[in-house]
Amino acid sequence: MGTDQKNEKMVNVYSRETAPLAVDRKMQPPCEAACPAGIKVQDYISLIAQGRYLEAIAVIRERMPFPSVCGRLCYHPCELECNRGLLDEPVAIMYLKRFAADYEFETHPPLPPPMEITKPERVAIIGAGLSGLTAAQDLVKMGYPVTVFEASPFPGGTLRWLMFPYRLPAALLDWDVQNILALGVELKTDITVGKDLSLEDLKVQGYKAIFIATGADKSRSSSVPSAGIIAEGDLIFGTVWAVHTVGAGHQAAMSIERYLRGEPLAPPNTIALPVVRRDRADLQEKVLGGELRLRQRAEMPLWEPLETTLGFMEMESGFCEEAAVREALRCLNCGAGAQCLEEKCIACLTCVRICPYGAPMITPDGSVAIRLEQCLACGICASECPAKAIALRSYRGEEVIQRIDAALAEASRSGSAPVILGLCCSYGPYAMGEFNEFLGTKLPPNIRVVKIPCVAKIETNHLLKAFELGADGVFVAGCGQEDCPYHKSSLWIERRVEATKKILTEIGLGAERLQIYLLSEPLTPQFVEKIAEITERVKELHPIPGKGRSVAQ
Amino acid sequence: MIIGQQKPLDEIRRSIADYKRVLVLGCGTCVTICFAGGEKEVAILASTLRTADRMDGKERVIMEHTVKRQCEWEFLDEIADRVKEADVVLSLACGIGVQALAERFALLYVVPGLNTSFMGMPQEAGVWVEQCVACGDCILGLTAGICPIARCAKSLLNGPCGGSQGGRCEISPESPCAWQLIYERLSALGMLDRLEEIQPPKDWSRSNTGGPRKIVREEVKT
Repeated sequence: MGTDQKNEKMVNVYSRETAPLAVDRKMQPPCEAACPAGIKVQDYISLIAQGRYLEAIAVIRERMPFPSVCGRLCYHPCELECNRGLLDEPVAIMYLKRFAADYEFETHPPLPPPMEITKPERVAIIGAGLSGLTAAQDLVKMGYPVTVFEASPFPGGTLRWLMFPYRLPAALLDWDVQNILALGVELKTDITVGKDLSLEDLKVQGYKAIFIATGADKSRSSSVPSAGIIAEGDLIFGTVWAVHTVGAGHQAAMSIERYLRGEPLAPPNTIALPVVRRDRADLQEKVLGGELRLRQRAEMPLWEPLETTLGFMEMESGFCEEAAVREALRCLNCGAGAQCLEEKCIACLTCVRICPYGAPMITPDGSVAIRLEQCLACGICASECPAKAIALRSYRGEEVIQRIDAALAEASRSGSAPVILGLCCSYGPYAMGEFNEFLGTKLPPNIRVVKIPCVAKIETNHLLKAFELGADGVFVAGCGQEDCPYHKSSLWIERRVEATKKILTEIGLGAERLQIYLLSEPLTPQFVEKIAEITERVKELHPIPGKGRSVAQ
Repeated sequence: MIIGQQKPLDEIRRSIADYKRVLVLGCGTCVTICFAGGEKEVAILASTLRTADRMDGKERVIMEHTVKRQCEWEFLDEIADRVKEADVVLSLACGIGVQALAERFALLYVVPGLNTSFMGMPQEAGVWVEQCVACGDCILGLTAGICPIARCAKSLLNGPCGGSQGGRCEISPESPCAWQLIYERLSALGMLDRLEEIQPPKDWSRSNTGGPRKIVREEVKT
């Protein structure tokens, strides 16, 4: 798979908006803790594993407005800290970031809309380099009117002048800059502050805070009364990695915010979340026990030599979609796992008994705690917990019913029958362009699909609800246990399907209306076969009497 | 803990057949733990009933709610308004919860959705066994911590009966013979001589034969 060119069929089925998360973190994944720019690494890796690439890049851009740079030129401290490295090799985080950035660049979604200006204080930023533009992005998102002054004709700072196309294609840097400016940042090029304009002039023009972000090669005395002046890391420490420069930009934005709000300039003392540190021996034991599988890290494919030498192009071609999704699935989901909601937990110990990884434990005070160091976020405990007392960071069970309802409403509107709902895995082959293209263009209108991050998260109630809300047939489509990153996932969903079939038989609806398919690759042809199969089966059964949208409260 | 089991769906449907507004009411304590009547079972049953109703062409409203414990007046008072909207409450609590509802809401019709099975514990995930019949006169100190009243099919005080085979009860071959268990445990404890003592007939006056039992503790009364 490694050397494949990018899959041209990648279909964007997800918006750029990031979905809200169910719970705040109790612990930080080590990748996130290690990132000087504070990128929510685990969040975006998880989105890539589900084919939600534009959401992934949106998560990245929150903290790293230059993903094209940072996906290519970073010393990736995240990977050094990655817990997967204790087991085989760290997740290829930097290359995954590049994958998301390249995907966005290739699909060229509309630029984000400008932010609403909600605060009166104008902010001037001197220097349109990485830290200056990062601070500009942060401040404009906080609602400040921001102007960036750049001495050269182009934004992008040192990078633009130092990089060769074989390291960083300029078009990618331009795209990153466009994404920042689109938020409403005003850019004034060819203006050298100190020559064309003085700091005093800026003050007179009404700027209440000034951020000097001119890079390592410039120096400046900075004493202007009554305007807040913040100098950036490069200026102070000399040239550093882009990711640090971006981190300095975030810090400057926060300092400016504190200054303008009349708060002390020093960052407030916040207690950092503890970091999830896994134990090598424990991971190895899980491999021996068959709960975890070793998986080789994807290698970065290179372009054919001829293609690159002709135009000073970069040599690395980037992950193809399949490589990216597979690589993202290697993530151990540190810090995204199950959290016990203390106010709901009744200490029934179900999670303690059923977790395939032994993550939940009884604390000395008799309550239940789930050790995130052991948890892989499979979600089996959350689905089985009778008190609904377990939440996962990136999965909202309540939302599933809304999505089922919306999908069935769409199928009913199509007017074609029988109405069939598929509850499908969202990982692996289910995440990829070919399958998404099928769903987007060739899925019959009477069949609608709701994706769930691993079918082990589907509950009996979800299946029954689908029938209540008008489905004539329901199928679950997951991966074979061999392909699933989680242990015992198919066992649990198969049990729930059986339990639901019993109920369907009891009320005379018939167990045949519910099917489970555990499919391997190639996915799409098998999927096509299975939807034809269930459609035929359901057609043979009597139509459900009194079909229609029922009264539910 | 109290262990319950959902009644057969047919029986439940018959019991609410004549009503138009049904509140399926769960209980968040014992029956949640044994997967019989918590929030999730309420959702499953309510959804099942709605689909079944639709198939029957029946128009009615099935509502769902779960309280922390149905056997507490205060928790029931919190749902007084909700209960008023229903013409029947299908309670997924144990028999105590059902009765508490009936007593608190004089004009409310309540039907049980569960059979209250026994007092017991999970032997493993998904398997519950009876351990106690609340006889009111505990003899576990005599029987090495194994209750022959609850766990011997004949509730013998002076066992074994002689009919067990391979350590299994002759009445219920699925169950281990309680007296065999008692024998083994006393043997391990070096206390087999206890078995030589003949137990006189038990005082059943403290059991559930003479009307409902009651405990009054003056020091915690309000």
